[in-house]
Amino acid sequence: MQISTSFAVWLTAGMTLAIYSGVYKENPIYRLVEHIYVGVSAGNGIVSTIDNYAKPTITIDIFQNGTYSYLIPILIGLLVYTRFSKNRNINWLNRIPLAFWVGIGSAVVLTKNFKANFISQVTATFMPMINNDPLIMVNNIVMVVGVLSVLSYFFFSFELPKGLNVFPKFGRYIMMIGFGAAYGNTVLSRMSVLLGRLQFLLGNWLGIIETRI
Amino acid sequence: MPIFEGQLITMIAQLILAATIFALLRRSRSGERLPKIRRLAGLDAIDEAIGRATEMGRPTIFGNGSGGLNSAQTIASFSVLEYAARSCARYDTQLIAVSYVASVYPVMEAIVRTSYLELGKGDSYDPVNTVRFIASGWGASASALQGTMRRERVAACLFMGSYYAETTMITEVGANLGAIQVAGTANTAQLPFMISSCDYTLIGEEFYAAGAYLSKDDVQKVNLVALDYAKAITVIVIIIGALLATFGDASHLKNFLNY
Repeated sequence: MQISTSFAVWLTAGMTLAIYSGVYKENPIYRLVEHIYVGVSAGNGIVSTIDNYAKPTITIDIFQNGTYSYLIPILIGLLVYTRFSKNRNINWLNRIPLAFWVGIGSAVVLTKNFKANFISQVTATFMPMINNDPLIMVNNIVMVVGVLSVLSYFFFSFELPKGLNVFPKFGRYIMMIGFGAAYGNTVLSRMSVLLGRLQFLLGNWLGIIETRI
Repeated sequence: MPIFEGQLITMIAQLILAATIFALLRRSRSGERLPKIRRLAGLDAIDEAIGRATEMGRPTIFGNGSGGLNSAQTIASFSVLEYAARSCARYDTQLIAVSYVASVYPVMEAIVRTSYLELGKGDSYDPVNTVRFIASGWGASASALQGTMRRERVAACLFMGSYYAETTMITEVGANLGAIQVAGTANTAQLPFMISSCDYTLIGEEFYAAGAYLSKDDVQKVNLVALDYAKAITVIVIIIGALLATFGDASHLKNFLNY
């Protein structure tokens, strides 16, 4: 293996190191790459929105297939830009698409998410707490008691009677155990991202290690 | 296709919840006092964080993550933003509210501008630098947010909303700067990172309760009380379901809930 002669690899390596330099402190090189990143991301967003949504909707759906009803959401969407008008009689119109957005979002949450995120989780907790296998039995008891305790932690407007007020505390411990497990899991997956970058720097760029890419 | 296929119980549950909210609201408007909401340390810490930023003469930064206007978390974050904007305007502390989502930006701008104007501090509101659209996409926005926090040397960070993989990148910078950080999200995968790097974290529904807690608005408070009733009913249903599964058959109850 030898050091890369590709301009693209050198550019990518330089940018990776520039971004990592931010870990030490804010500096002009980090700032330069940060602004390039933001600019490229904005440009990419505009182009992909035009190519993936605006163009196919206008050229294929409206002109080729004749779905003229799509003009209505387009016109409503264009009202967003009235906020740039200084005329007060016009710029309030930008609230119409925003109201649509919020309304549609709420409707989707109420109709689709309620069953998937709530009822399915409630029914999944209907577990038998007596089982011949002691491990399954303990697992089911922890599951049911854990869910009830965590739910009790989120009562905001009334307190549980004295004998039951141990449940919110237990619920908090259950959550912390869950968060600890999630933390470890995510840290390990982030390590694989770091390893990918190190493989690129040490392999593709400097040629110190063998890479399969 | 029937309108309510597999959604009948969902609809009935929501109608009951709506009726409860309506009844509680009527009671509240007739002068009856609503139950007191328990203390939430994370929300009390917002005043502490802004107070510290005021003393240090450094800015407070507010971010509400990558959620759009169809995200309940984004809507919940607006109450915290309004509260933070009012506190910053009152104490003449610089507020930097950042948005990653184009549709959320104008709403944030309207909230902050209105808060400043209502307190008679319209002159302190900077239309360019107070509310900023920093970037789209979580990677670029995390990078831009890190840079903004470091350059402006923020003393208080309020991160309330739908956060994803960028959480650690931004909260670690805040911790590194020695800023007081108050965060809240309902994205459970990100909560461990907020808990480990922020001073106070609002866990899940605590974050949704923020609006009612901070605003003292009766409508929001009534919603929270009604949701407490819903949770109490859920606890009862789970106990019945678990007992049926243990000593009999819970399939009828499961089928009923999925009807």
